[in-house]
Amino acid sequence: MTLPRNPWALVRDAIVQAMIRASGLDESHVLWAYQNTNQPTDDYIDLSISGSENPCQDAIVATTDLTRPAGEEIQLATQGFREVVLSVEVYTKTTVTSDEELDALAIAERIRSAIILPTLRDRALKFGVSFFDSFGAAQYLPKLISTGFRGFALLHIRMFIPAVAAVEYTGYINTVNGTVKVTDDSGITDEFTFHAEGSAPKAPTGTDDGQQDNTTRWDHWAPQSGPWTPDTPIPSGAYSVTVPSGVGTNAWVKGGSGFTTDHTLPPGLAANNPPPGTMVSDGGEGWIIAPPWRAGWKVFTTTDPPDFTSNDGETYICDEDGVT
Amino acid sequence: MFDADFAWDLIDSFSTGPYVGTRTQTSGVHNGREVPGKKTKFTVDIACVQPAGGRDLLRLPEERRATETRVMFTKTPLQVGGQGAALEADRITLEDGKLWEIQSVESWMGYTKALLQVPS
Repeated sequence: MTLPRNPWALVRDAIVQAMIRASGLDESHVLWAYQNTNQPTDDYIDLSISGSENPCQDAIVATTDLTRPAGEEIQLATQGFREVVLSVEVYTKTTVTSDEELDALAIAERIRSAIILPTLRDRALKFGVSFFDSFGAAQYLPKLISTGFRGFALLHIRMFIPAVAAVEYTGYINTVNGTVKVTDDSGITDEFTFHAEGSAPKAPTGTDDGQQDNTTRWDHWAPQSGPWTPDTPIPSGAYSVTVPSGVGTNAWVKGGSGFTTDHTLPPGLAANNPPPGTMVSDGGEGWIIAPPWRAGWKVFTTTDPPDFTSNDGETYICDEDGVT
Repeated sequence: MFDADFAWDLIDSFSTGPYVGTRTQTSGVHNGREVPGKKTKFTVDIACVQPAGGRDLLRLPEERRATETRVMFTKTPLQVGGQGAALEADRITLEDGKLWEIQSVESWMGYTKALLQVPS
């Protein structure tokens, strides 16, 4: 599963669930220490985490999303794990002599043994929690509180947990301007200026289609004729977009949000909402179903898109800023 | 011989109340975390609140004896918290606007003497 940047809540939940299974106690008797509430009745377990160590250097994972604001297209996130010590404090009302299964040391030892069981480890591992060692002696420190006996055992378990991810953003270099001066042996200085445009992909304009692939998206929203505006009503019906030759076989036409299936669908178009992308070949035709209030289409292509026409009589010219 | 009516009249005549209290069911536990219990308001109609004396402080655990403490005499039953208790300690708003927590309760002849401290 994909863990959130701060996985602590999930990690703590996974540890508690593992301790419930390992100890045999119910959920109301396994809790994190230092909370402002009454102690539960014995027998119960207090958990606490300490001694966080970084066993190896964290990695930086870079992901690119061109739909993020300019200058923040690249996300740099740390990724790593920590070695921590889980302290398990077992409190019981039972002495060693009365019930060998329920005294504090017996419960601590049961936990120590159970954490290597495959089912317990697998469940914890889904949340990045890996118990790998219950080091040292399980200490048995029972005491008399006033006139009452209380069993107490302390067990330490080492484990790996996912680290909290820190994130920052960076972007592409769009333009570099500079001057270079070169002086030859004769003392003549030539001065060169340079201007370099970045070749990084440009974030497409228009509505985010949620895709993070390498296609360039060409959007257009239009009424039956003229520029589309939200207040311009258009008739219901089916519209088609013909993509001329030269697009290649990786073009498709897709209806955008607001398209419904309240209208008669052209043959072969699945009745989904919105209509699915219709694959078109060179010169192929994509169908779009227009609701009463908006019409439009999106053309996806891996090549420079040519102009295309629709049956509203308009010709649309694609450029990188969209469709004019 | 103890005269209960006289004691009640005494508390009534010295009453500094009424006061509003908060009674809280003990927390539940989910995934190891406290799930706060339900809170209900109650009224302490007649109560006499005074500063605690030295003998009162000796009834408290050692680490609590240096904390400002009040004594409340009332006929309203009050609760202290404890391991496995169904209720957490009652909290009562006194004249200073702060919530004072019941640290100790003595009940006798239908009367309650409670020691209160502001939780730290």
